[in-house]
Formats: sequence, structure tokens, C-alpha cells
Amino acid sequence: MRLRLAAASLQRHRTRTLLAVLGVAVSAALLLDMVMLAGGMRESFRDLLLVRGYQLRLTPRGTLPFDTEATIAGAADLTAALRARPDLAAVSPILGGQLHVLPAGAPAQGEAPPPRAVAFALGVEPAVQGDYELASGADLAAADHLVTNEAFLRAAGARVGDTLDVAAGFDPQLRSYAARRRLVVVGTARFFYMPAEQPAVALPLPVLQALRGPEGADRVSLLMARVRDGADVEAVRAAVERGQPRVSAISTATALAQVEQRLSYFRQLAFVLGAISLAIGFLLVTTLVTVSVNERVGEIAVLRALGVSKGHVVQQIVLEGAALSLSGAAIGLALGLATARYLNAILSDFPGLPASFDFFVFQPAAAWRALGLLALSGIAAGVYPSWRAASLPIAGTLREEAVG
Amino acid sequence: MNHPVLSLHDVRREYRVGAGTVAAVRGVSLDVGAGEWVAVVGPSGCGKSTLLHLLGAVDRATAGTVRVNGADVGAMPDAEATAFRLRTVGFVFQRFYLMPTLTARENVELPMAEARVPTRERRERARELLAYVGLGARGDHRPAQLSGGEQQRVAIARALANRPALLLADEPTGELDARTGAEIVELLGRLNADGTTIVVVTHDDSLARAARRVVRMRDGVVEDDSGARP
Repeated sequence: MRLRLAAASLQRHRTRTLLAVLGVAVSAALLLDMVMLAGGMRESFRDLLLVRGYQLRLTPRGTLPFDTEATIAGAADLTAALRARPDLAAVSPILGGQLHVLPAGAPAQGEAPPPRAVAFALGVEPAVQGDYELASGADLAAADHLVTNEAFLRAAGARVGDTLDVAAGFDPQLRSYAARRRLVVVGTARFFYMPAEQPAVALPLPVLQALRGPEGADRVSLLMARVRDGADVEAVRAAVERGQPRVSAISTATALAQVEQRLSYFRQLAFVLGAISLAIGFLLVTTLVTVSVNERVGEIAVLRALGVSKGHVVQQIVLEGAALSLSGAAIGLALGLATARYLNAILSDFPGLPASFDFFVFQPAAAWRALGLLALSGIAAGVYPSWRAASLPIAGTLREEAVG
Repeated sequence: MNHPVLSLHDVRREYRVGAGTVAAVRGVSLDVGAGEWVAVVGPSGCGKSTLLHLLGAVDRATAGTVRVNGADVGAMPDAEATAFRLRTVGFVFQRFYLMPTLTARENVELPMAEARVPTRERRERARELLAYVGLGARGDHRPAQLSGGEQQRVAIARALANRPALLLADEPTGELDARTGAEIVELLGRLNADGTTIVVVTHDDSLARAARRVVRMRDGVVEDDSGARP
């Protein structure tokens, strides 16, 4: 009956109830978006780093991955030494560099013609690579194979199956390349760490090393390492760095800590806006419940005169607040997800961001906590006004109602 | 007189108004036996409604004792007084005070739901009570769809829901026209004939005449009691 009374009371002023629910929904959506934003970039970055399970990045000493054009010499020996370590399960060497697609029929000798397209190339070992996932076609299986992203195909005007004349190691003074090669596009891929609009290709590591000439010989830009199950990542990181003084070893945790430091402004902003939206939700429900209770003091006095306990009167009114909050939170969940998706699409178009990087990430535990907090605040919002109304002197209230 | 259902002894009720006090009831003593129908009459402001509120445990006496079925109503803590109102007295108000969002049947069920009467049982009793007050076919109507007389009938059915020992009615015909008022008087007479003890506060002469005993109040005291023992 209390539920029935609460529902009936909300239905009595449908427009007011609807507006209140919408108000709570907007507040809940904002709260949810702020929660998704606060933890989203960190989670997205973490997922990105761990997409293929590599917890360590080894870079030239003192640099960050692809932060400079510096490379690590003696790549073959370094890779072999790392693979010999019992605490590492996999090591993936990567060389980065620019790859130019030459126009068809470009002369083999003399001054280099302007390229058809320029792409960022990753020289990888296909069996252990952690930079892309195949979208169509085949993976690298031979020395003349090339896997590209869609942006590259558009820029080069190429298709899967085409043979392209490519070159690397461009010398701007001599206007010549260190080496040229004919490669076949065998598949398309999604590159995890590349912006979607950036033309990108992957080719076998030795091929890119050869194409870059002397500056690529036996060199890599980065090694990714996967720690064996059960081993302590930080301990392995420290051991690798001690054993290989030419490299800096960065763990996912270290990288995340650095990112977290850089994103602290975002998190503070999200926290403040989230707190404000929570307060707005609370005030909305409090206002509505207070107005509703004030209109019904006579009705409440009658309930009390009929023998309805104070606790049950409070329960009924708190139920109204809870219904408003829960309905608002439910609509706010849908609204928040839709808004987050829209905002994410806008923010993801920022140039230079990896295609798979998200600003808003739905983390169920955090979202339920936030929406639960909003619902609880809505419930709490009804307690005081209802208790106050249930505690009014019955006879006096009835007398005033009779006079009024 | 049968054993008294209610007994008031030197009851006083004073209100603080600004720095002073106003005495609404000043030393009323009264016994009402089981099955009696008492009409409390008197001019406005003489303390009739206050007396009724004291009997129904919605107000507390400043001095004196109010006993209903032997229980000292004034000494009850709030929770006990609430339970007392739920199970021992039934209230009928001048303005009906039905819950506007509930149907007639739900209004009658309300006190039973509070008393945790099982759903099926309270549905059945609500149906019986509505039939008793002549509204068997109007159970699904909301108060706004009922006339004043019909609303008061629903209010009477609601007051009887938990089989109270005492029915308290405050100007039950005050908002009704003469013909509808007469129907309510007839209904109260039928209720009393069926054994319900009734105390009614009224300005309505026809209602007062229908009661078996008339208590006349003036300035907070009982001026005349037709049922008083010599």
C-alpha cells in the first residue's frame, strides 16, 4: 500500500514528476560522464599498452617510445639476450621509419621523384608483433609483403594485391633513397598506436632495416617484452635495465603513473563537475519532495490520525524520492552513455591520437557506484522533510487544514 | 450503563498562545458505555473537537486522564498511541479526508494494510464495508468521482475497517446538504444499532436528536449531559 500511495502521489503531478526525473537524469548523465572521463583515459591507455600483453617497453636510454628518432644498435644481440632471459616470455623488436611510395615507372637511378604517398612504417617480426591486428587479407609471410591501414590505401591510391615501388632512408641533400624495393600489399590492419588518419604500414623488420640503409642496419627503435606468468613485472624491469645499460625499461605501471600525472587536471575537473552534478541531483529531489510534502501535511496528518505509523509515512515519502532518483538514474545511464559516445567521437578526432584511444570508458563498477550514490542521495533527500511532516502535531495540523 | 468504553476524568487541555495560555477543555469528566451513541454539541470554540481529539489520541490532555477500553491514552508513547488509533478508534472527519489518489476500495483497505491484514482478507472486508454503506458498486471510483455524501460513506467504511471499539466523528454532516446529511445520520444509526459505540461532535440538530445521549459543552466544560446519572 505504501508503494501504491507513493506511486499515486507521483502520478498526481505528472508533469512535475516528469520534469524532476528528467532533471535527475541530466544530473546522472553528467555524473556518469565525469566518472567515465575521470578513469576513462587511464583505462584506455592501459588497455592500449596491454592490448597484446606486453608489459615492458625498452627504448634507447633516456627516451620514451618513438619520442625521438634515436635507435638501439646491436638489435639482434640485444633481442637474443632478452629472449634468453627466463623471466621473459616474448620479445618483439620494432623499427620505425618513413616509407615513401614512389610513382609507377619511377627511374631506378638519378634524382628521386616526389613520392605518391608517405607512410609511417613499422618493421616487425610478424609472429610476435604487438602493433596491429589484421582487418582483411593476409599477414606478413614473406620478405616482399606489406600490411597497411586504410588511410595508407587511400593516400597511395592502392588496393590489397597491388605491388608498390617503395623506398626509405631519403637523403634530402642528395634527393635520393638509401634503398628501394617492390612490395605487395597483402592485407589491411588496424594499428593500435597510430591515429586513424595517419597512413601506416608494417613490413618485416629485416626489410625495413635494409631499406633504411646504414642507419637502420641491425637497429630497432623499441622492443616490447612480455613477462612470464608469475614473475614480478617491476623486478624484471629493474633487472633488464641493470643488465642492458643502453636501454630504458618502462613498465605499464610506470607509463600509467606518468599518464596519470599528466591527466590529473582532467580528473580534478571531472571530480568537481561530478560532485556538482551529484549535489544538483540531491537538491532537485529534496526540493521536489519538500514541495510535495508541504502540500500534503493535512493528508499526512490524516494518515497519522488513522493509525499509520511515523516510520511508514517516512517510508512512503522516501519511496517517492527513491522512485524519482532511480528513474532518473536509469534514464541518466542511457543519456550518459549516448553523450559519452558523442563526445568521444568528437575528442577522438583530435589529430595525433591513436585510433583506439577513448576518452570515455564505461567501467561498470565505477558507474554503478556513481549512480548508486546518486540514488542514495535521492533517498536521503526525502528523509528529513518526511520525518518533519510525520512529526507535526496531528490535532493542530487537522485544525489548520479544517480552517484552511 | 454498560461497562465504560471511554472514561474521562477532570480532563484539561490548554494551549500556549504567545506568552499566555488558552484553555480549550477545562475539567471534563465523562463516561461512555459500550454501544452508546453520544452527540457532543455546543457553540464553535467550546472545546468539542479538542475533546474528540483527546479521545482519539491525536492530542494529549494537559491534565486529567482519558481511558479508552481501560487504557490510559494520555500516557501512551507515540508508537503505542499510533497503534491505539489504528486498532481501537475509527475517525470520521468533516471534510472526509480520503486519499485522493486511491480508489474508494483502496481507501477502505488503507488502515487494514497498516494493520497487516492479509491482502485477500482486506479486499473482502473492504467489499463488505462498502456494501454496508451502500457503495458496493463504487469501489473502483476515486474520491473526485464521488459525491460528498458518498465520500463520507467511504470515510465511515474506512473508519470501521479494523473493527474499532469506538467511532469518533467530527461534524460528519457539516459539509453535506440536508438530504445527504440525513442519509449519513441514518447510516450512523444503523451502525450504532449493530453495536458500534459512537461519539459524534456536531452542530447538526438532526444528528444530535438521533443520538441517544447529548452532551452539551460551553467554554470548555460540560454544561449538560442527557445521559448523566442523577
